[in-house]
Amino acid sequence: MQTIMLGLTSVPGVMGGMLSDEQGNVLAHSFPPYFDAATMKGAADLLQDTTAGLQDVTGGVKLYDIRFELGRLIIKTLPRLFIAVLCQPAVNIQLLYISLNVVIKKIEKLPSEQLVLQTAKQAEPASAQAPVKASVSIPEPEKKFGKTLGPPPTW
Amino acid sequence: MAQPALQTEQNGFVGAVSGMSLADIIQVKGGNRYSGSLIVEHLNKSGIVYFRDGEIVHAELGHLDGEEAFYAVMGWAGGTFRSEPKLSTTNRTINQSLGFLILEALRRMDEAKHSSQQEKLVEVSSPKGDAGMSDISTKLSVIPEIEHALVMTKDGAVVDDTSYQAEILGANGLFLALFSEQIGSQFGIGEFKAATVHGSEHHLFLFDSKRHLLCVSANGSANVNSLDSEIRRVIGQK
Repeated sequence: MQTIMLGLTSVPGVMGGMLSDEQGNVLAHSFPPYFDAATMKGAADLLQDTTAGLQDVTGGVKLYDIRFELGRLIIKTLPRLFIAVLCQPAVNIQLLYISLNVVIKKIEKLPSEQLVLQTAKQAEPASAQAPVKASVSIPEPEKKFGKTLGPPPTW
Repeated sequence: MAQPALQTEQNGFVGAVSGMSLADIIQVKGGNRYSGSLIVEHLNKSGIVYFRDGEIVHAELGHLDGEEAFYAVMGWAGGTFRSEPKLSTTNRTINQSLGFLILEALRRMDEAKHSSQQEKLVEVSSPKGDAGMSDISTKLSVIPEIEHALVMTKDGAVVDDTSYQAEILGANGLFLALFSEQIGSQFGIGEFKAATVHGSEHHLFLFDSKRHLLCVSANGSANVNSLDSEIRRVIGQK
């Protein structure tokens, strides 16, 4: 998932992206190091509350496009997931939408178990996890299906 | 008494004219010594202006007729019109010349605009028949895909619209504004400027200004980017 999110940063004007779930867990991101974990966690928590709040007036939120003085935030909603992409104000939005569609297709093809494992990993105490780095590459052994870090999830 | 409207084929061309005021259209009718009626529609209201040899002889709008109906129609910021040459009337409630009527209508519009600019925008006006929509709502209502538009203060008070629909839209707009400010603060990307929510059934637009927010809801089938550009064009008009 980290590699998938890194693909978004190849779009000119994109500063970084984040994948979070409806529990407010950050599953993967491609932000530079100065965006710390607390920042992304705070954003993920806001996302899960707001989408439910605007459900009635919109019939279901598909995408947010929010413009700020210094940047533009695009948030795509998926079933139980959010992709937030932070961009410069003058980003080519159509190119970003195309890239976002590619990323979404890749995420949808991921085994659901992989998402569950990633969610369980995020739910572990912070001290048990390695620091999150934007450019980290996932070691080969950990890419194997079914490999877990720490206690196995229960469901 | 007016003859019933006949939905018959018109001779000549039928089309839409944008960028022309109603006063221009009426002057053209006068110059052409038009006889018949001009039906003007705005939101859910329809007014009829009757011509005879280029002079306005009668006008109807709801319970109003005569000059008052004509001035009320002229006060609309936008709308659609169509000519019905076969729709005539034997009434004669207007005796002033076309030029006088247009000048008087423009004078009344200037007076109304001047008095509304002097009022404080934080006050909510009392309902005036159709719940008194703000000027910006009236301007945006000419865009077909727009369902509702309102202006509100930064603390959520809706300006010049006391309808239930406005209250709901205002609440959602404020909710979106608060979320936008919070998440923008989270990432440190400056002041909030505008937000668009692409919905399955309805889209939501929010624009920030110094003291107010403009909140617009639109049909979910509309193209969001085109509509955004159109809204910005309309609100940028003086």
